[in-house]
Amino acid sequence: MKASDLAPPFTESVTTMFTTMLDCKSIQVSGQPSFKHDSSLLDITAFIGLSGPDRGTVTLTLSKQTALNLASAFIGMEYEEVDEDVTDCVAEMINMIAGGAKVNLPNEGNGPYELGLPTVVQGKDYTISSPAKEVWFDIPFESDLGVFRLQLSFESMKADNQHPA
Amino acid sequence: MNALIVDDSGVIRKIIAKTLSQTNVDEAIQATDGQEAVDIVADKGDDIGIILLDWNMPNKSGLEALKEIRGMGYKTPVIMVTTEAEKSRVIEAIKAGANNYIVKPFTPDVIQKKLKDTCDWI
Repeated sequence: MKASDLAPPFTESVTTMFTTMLDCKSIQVSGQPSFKHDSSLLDITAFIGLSGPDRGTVTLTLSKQTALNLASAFIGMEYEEVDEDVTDCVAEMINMIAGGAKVNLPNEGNGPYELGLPTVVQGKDYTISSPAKEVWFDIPFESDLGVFRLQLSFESMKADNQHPA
Repeated sequence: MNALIVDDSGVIRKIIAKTLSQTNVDEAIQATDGQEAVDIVADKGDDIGIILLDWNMPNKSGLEALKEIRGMGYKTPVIMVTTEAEKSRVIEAIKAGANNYIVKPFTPDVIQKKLKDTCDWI
C-alpha cells in the first residue's frame, strides 16, 4: 500500500474527530508529510496497532500543552497538569483516529481491520527502535488546540519508501 | 431506572455519564470491561434499563459481553458505542442482540437521540 493511499483516511479521521468531539474550528496538515521517523518525539506519545489486510502502527505525538488543551476541550473542564484523565483522553483519541481511518483503508475485500488497544507513553527520554526496513510516514498537523504529529508505519509501505507521496 | 456505561476509557464514561445526567436516568453505573458488565447485569438485572457498550476492551470485548447478557436471558436495550464503523461490524452486533449503534466520535446530541430512539422510558 502506498503512503498516498494510507494517509488520506487518517487525515480525514483526524479532522472528523477534532471538529466533532473537540469543537475545533481550525485543523489542517501543516507541512509536507514525509518519510521519516523523527526521534524528537514530543511530551506524550500514544500508539495503537492495526492488523488484518495489512499490519501497522499509528502514533500520535503531542506537547504537554496540546494534550492539556485537547483534554480540556474533550471533557469540558480545565486541566493544568497531565493526569490520568489527560492520558486517557490521548489514548481515546488515537483509538478514534485509527478506528475512523480503518473503515476507509483499502482492504481489497480481505475483511475489516482489527484495532489493538492504545498505549500512552509520557516523557521524551526514550527511543523507539524499529526493524531496519520499517519506514514511517510523518504527518504534521496544526489546530486551534496546538500542534501535533501523526506517524504511520505499515508493512506494505516498505515498497513505497523511495517514492514518497 | 439505571443505565450501565461500559468502556475502558474513563473520559468516555465521564462524557456519557454527563449526557445521561441530563435525562431521567437515576444512576449511571460504570464498568471498565465486558466481564465487569456481565457481572453487574447478573447482580442488578432488571434495575438496568439501558446499556451503552464499547466494543474493544481488555479482558472481555463488548460483543462477547453482549452475547453473554443475551444468553442469560436479559432483554435490556443495548447501544453499542464504538469506533468499529464497518457495516459488517454493525450487522454482527445487531445479530448478537444490539438494539442500536453509535460510532465514535459522537456528540452529546447523538447520544440523546439514540437513547430516545432505543428506550421508551427516556
